Amino acid sequence: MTEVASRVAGLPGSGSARAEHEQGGQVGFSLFALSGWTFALRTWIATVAALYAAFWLQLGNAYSAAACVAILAVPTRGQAYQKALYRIGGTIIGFMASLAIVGLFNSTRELFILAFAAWIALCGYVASFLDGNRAYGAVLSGFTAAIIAFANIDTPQNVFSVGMDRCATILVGVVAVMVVNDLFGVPEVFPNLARRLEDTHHMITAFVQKMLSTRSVDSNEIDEILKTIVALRTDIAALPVESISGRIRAAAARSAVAAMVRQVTSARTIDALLRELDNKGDELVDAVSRGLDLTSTGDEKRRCRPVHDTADACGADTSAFVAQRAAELLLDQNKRALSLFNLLQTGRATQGPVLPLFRAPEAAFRNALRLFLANLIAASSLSLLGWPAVSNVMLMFAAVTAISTNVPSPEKFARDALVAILLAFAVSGITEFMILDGADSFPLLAIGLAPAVIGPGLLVASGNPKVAPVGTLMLIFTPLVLLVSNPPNYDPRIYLVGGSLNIISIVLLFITTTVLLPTSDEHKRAWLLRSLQRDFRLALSEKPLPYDVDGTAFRDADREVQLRALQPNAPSESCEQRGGLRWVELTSAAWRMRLALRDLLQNPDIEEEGRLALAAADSVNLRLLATRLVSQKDEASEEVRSEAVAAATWMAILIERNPREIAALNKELK
Amino acid sequence: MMIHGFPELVIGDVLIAPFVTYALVALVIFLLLRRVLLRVNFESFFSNPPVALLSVYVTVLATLIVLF
Repeated sequence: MTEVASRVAGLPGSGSARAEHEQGGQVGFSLFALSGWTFALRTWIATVAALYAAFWLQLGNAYSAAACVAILAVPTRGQAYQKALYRIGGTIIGFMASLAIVGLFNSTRELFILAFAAWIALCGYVASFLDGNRAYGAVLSGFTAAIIAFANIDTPQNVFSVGMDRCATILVGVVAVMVVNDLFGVPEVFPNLARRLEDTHHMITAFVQKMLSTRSVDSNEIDEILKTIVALRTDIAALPVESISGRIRAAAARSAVAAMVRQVTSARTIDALLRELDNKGDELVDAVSRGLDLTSTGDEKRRCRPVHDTADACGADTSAFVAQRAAELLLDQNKRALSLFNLLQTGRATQGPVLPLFRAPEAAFRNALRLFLANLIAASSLSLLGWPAVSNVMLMFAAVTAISTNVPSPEKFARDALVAILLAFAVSGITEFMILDGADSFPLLAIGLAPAVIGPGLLVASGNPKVAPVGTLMLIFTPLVLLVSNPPNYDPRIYLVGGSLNIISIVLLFITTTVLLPTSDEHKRAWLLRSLQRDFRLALSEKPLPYDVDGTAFRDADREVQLRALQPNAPSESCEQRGGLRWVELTSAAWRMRLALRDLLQNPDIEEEGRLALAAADSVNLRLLATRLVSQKDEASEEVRSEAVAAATWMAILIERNPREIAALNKELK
Repeated sequence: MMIHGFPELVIGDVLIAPFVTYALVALVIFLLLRRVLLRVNFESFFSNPPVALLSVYVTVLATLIVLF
């Protein structure tokens, strides 16, 4: 499972620790790493504390508290806190939904199952538009209905008490994790994030310098940079809950991320135009290169003149002007990023942009439909069997199918889950019948549980992408198979039946992911292309755009990362991929132009004229508009006007360079 | 010696344990206090700020239990 996948699934062994691990190029497995042992021991202590509290409070299903600790066992405090909050919120919403479903459809079994499947599908749909722990919170709301409502399908009078019990065990687990994390000084997200932000900035500066010297860009390098930037978002979201200054730090970090994305965009614009510039290109390269050096040494006042030439010097409708504007933007955003790194350390208040994600609505709908059908078919079939114990299959099945819809590779998730459940079954059997073997005192239980928790904990902490997800799932599955209770039962029948039902759930997941509406790369590519064309048309329409410049830049980067992640198998797919990247460029330019015209805040005629020229994909009119904007002297600042001029000219250049895409669009619009 | 009574909260015939009420009120007070603590740069006074913040919460909770 990839890093993104495990984050969406809300799984540990991912996030900062893994990123750190991979950055150091040490993807491997070491049993002797101190950080791994502290993580595993911490998880064991929190598990024991949660179980003790749950036994003391005489909660039913006390093993849920141990499972809750396993789910919240993530390497950093911020991530654990954030996940805990979404876990509490998701559980409460799921509990309310369970009460509503049972209250409304208790008397009609068919409607009950239909409503239950629809609720899970709705939550899966919402989760498809979110990422990280937010997505986990949304799917949790869905499968909580399975845990509370479906498990009591034959005993609706117990739904309320089971729901209260569930909320209580989760609170116990959350408090145990929080207290143990606080007392044991768990690493924070912030120091690692601050370092990663600065490293990414260095990476971008090196990329720009290389691009300027070789006059070409390496597509793989862009891919790597964009992926790194987009991945920072999840950790930034955890900052506000980590410390009292977290909100301010998160705002600064979001601004820094937006500045870096815009730096990359400007660098790519310069690269696209350099070949046309001849001598002016050399001057520009020299100026940008020196500008970057001076900014990094803090001597910005000596910034080179060619970058500050006005439109009058080279003509507003020329590539030279667009390239100069891109160079200015690049240096400005570089300066902005560096000043934000200072703000991050000092913790002074700042305003941060929203960093919207890109999610294809078609993908969300397909996910929801898959969840609906999977749960409907499974629940109906199990209900027809008429054996009350099989409702337990639905608890696990609903949870794993809901999580699987939000991972990039549901098939890999299902494989990992299958390995983990078999290992958890074996480990639980050994723990229950060989290690504990009838022991009934709590200290013995705590010691007996140590290998079952510390072992998978070490796998999680290894950060190895092959074994860490299995370790995470094992950590979660083991308490669910072991079913620790007070007093202990040591009944082999309960162990065998419970374990077998859990294994059946995972086998059903495996079948579902393979045969039920699997999403191929081809689907994803088609949805991304459609979304790009939809966004392009939105820029041509009269509707206002929903995001600002920073937000648009980040969303475009997120979408491009998703497009680049799809591996073309056939030459036709490779061609489509390249076409997709051209659409990324066109759509970004169209949005940039609309936003620039909006910021002019002057004569509304200009904005309408620009929009019409854009809608007609008329490069001549766009260039005329650029020339007219330069000559107009009004209250708009020089900066805003330059941006509008450059955006219009850049759009004209792209329209001329991509006649095929524009012709296709015109044909569609007619 | 005066016996300390605990307020019981009943919502729709469901009895909420007094400790839950105290914990929630303490949480609200703690969240409000965070703004003040941010202004005085509270975290910079401690080598392990999370433990200090946890102690603040426990202090608020204990004060509520003793006083009300």
